[in-house]
Amino acid sequence: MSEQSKGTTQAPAPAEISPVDRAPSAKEQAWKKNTLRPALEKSPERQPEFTTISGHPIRRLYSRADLPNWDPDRDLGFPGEPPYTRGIHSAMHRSRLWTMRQFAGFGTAEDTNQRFRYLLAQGQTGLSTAFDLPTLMGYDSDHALSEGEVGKCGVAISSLADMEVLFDKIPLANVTTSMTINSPAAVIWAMYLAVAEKQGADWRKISGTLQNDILKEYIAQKEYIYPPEPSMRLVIDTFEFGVKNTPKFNTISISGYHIREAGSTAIQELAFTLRDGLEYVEWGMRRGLDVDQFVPQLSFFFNAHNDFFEEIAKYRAARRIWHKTMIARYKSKNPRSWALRFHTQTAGCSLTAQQPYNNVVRTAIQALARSSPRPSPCARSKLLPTKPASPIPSIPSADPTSSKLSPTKSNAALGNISIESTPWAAWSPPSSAATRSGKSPKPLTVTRWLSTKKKKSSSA
Amino acid sequence: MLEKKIRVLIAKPGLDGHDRGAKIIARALRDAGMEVVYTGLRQTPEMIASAAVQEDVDVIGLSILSGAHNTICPQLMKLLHDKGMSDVTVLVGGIIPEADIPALKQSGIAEIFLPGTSTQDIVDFIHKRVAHP
Repeated sequence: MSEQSKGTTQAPAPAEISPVDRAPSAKEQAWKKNTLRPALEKSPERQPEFTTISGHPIRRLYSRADLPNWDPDRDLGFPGEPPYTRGIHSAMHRSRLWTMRQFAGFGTAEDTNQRFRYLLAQGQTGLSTAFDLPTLMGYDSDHALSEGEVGKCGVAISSLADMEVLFDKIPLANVTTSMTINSPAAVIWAMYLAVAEKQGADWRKISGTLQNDILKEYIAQKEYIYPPEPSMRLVIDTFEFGVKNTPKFNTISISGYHIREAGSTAIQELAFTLRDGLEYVEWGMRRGLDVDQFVPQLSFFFNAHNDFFEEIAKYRAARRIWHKTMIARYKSKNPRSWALRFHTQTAGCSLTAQQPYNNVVRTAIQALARSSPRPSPCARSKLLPTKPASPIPSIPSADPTSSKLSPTKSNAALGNISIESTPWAAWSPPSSAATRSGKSPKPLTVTRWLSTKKKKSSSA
Repeated sequence: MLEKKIRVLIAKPGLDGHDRGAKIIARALRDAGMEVVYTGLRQTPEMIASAAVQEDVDVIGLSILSGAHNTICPQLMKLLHDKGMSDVTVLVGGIIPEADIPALKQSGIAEIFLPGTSTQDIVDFIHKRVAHP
C-alpha cells in the first residue's frame, strides 16, 4: 500500500493557465503569426467565443504551453492506481465486459416480473427496477393521491406480497438488482431482503444498488417525503445495516444525473454531487461508523451529456477529487474508499421527440464519453427506455420524419443508455478490508433485525 | 387607465416532480406580459380548481408528464364546471399520446401542447383565445 499512498502526496496538478500567464513556444508563436493570422484575415472565426455546452470557454489551440511542468507519471498516473484519474481498474473492459441491464418497470408486479424474466432470458445478469410514482412517494396504490398514476412510469409496489410477485422465480442469490427508489428506500430494500431471505439467499453475498440519495431530491428531482434531517437518518440507517449485513450491496447511488437534467452545468453537477457524497460520509461518521467500512459501499451516478471532452474531464475530475478528499479530509486508509465507482446514464434532456434518429447518434456519443477513454470503474451498459411505454418497448416502424410518432413511444424505443459501476462484489477484492473488522456478525433475518431495532429503541 | 392583464394559473397535478417545463412556461407567459401564478408540485384537481377560483384566472395550464392525464383532466373539468368556472381556458402541456387527445378535448381542454411547441405559439394561442376588451 505504501506505493499507492505515495501517490497521494504528489504535487497538485497545475491549474488551468490563464491566457496572460500562458507562455507559448517560439514555434507556436511563429504559427500564430505566419499561418493563423493570415488565415483569420481571409476567413474570420464564425463566432466571437466558443464554449463547451456548460459555457466553459474553449481555446482555439491547446499545446504544451497549457500544461507547463506537467509530468504525466506524477500528475495523471495510471489506471487502477491513485488518484484513479484514468479509472479505478487497470485493464477495464479488456478484463471484464460490462453487465447489460435494461431499466424496467410498468403496470403490476406480475407484468414487470414477466419483463424481468424476459430480459434475463435474453442474457442479462442484472435487473434495474423502475417504480411508479405512488411507490416513489410512499403511497399505496389505493391512496387517493395515487389515482391515475398506478403502474405508470414504473411498477406499483404497495406491499411485501407485491415484492414477492415482482421477483417470483428470479434467484436473487445470482441476480444483482438496482432499485431506483429514494424516500421509501429503506422500506423497499427491507422488502427486497425479505424476499431474498425467503428464497434462501445469503444476505452477505447478494448484491445490487439502492439509489437512496435523498439530498439530490431536495436539489433537483423533488421526490422527498420527509424533511432533510429525518430523511438523512433513514439513509444512514441503511448504511449501518449494509455494513453489518449486506457488505456487497451498494447502499446508495449518489446522483448528479437529476441535477444535470434539471439544468445544471457539468461543473455544477460535479460540485453538488461530490458535496452530497461528503455529507453522507460525515453523517455516517457521526453515527459512529468506520469510514473505511461504509464508504466502499457508496456509489455514484453521473450524467453523460453531449460535450464529449467535457464529460470525460468531469468523470476524471470526480475520481481525482474523491480520492484526494477521502484521504486528506477523512483520513481514509482503505483504497476501496478512495476509488469513486460510478454509473452513468445518457442525458434524457438532450433528446427530442421530433428527431428520434438524432437521439440515437447523440446517445452513442454520450455513451462513448463514458466508456472509451480509460473510463471508469467497470461499467455496465444498458439500452434503457427513459420512461418505458410498455413492458417490452419496440423500435417504432414509423418514418422518423412522421409527426405521428408519439413522444412516449419514441422515448421508449430510442431511450438512453446507462452504464454502471460494477459493485465490488463482482470484482475480486483488492484487499481484505471488508473483513478486517474481524468477526463477522451472525447473519440476521428481517425479523431478528426488527426485534433488535425494537429492543434498541425501547432501551433508549 | 391600466390595461387588465391576462391571469394564468400554471399547475403541476399528480405526483410527478418534473417541473422544468411548467417553470419555463410560467416564465414565458410572464415575459409576454401575463400575470402568472404557479401552484408548485403535487396538486390535486381540487387544489387546482380552488386556486383558480381564488386567483380569478382566465387560463389554467396543466403540466403532466406521468401518464395520469386521462384521470386528472376530466376530474378538473368537472370541478371547474361545478364551481361556475366553465369559461376558464384550460391548456395541457407534456407527454400526451396522440391517441388520448380527442377525448381530452372532448372533456373541455382547449388545447394540448406537445414537446417541441414553441413558447411563442402558446403565448399567441392564449392571446387569441382570451381577448380582453
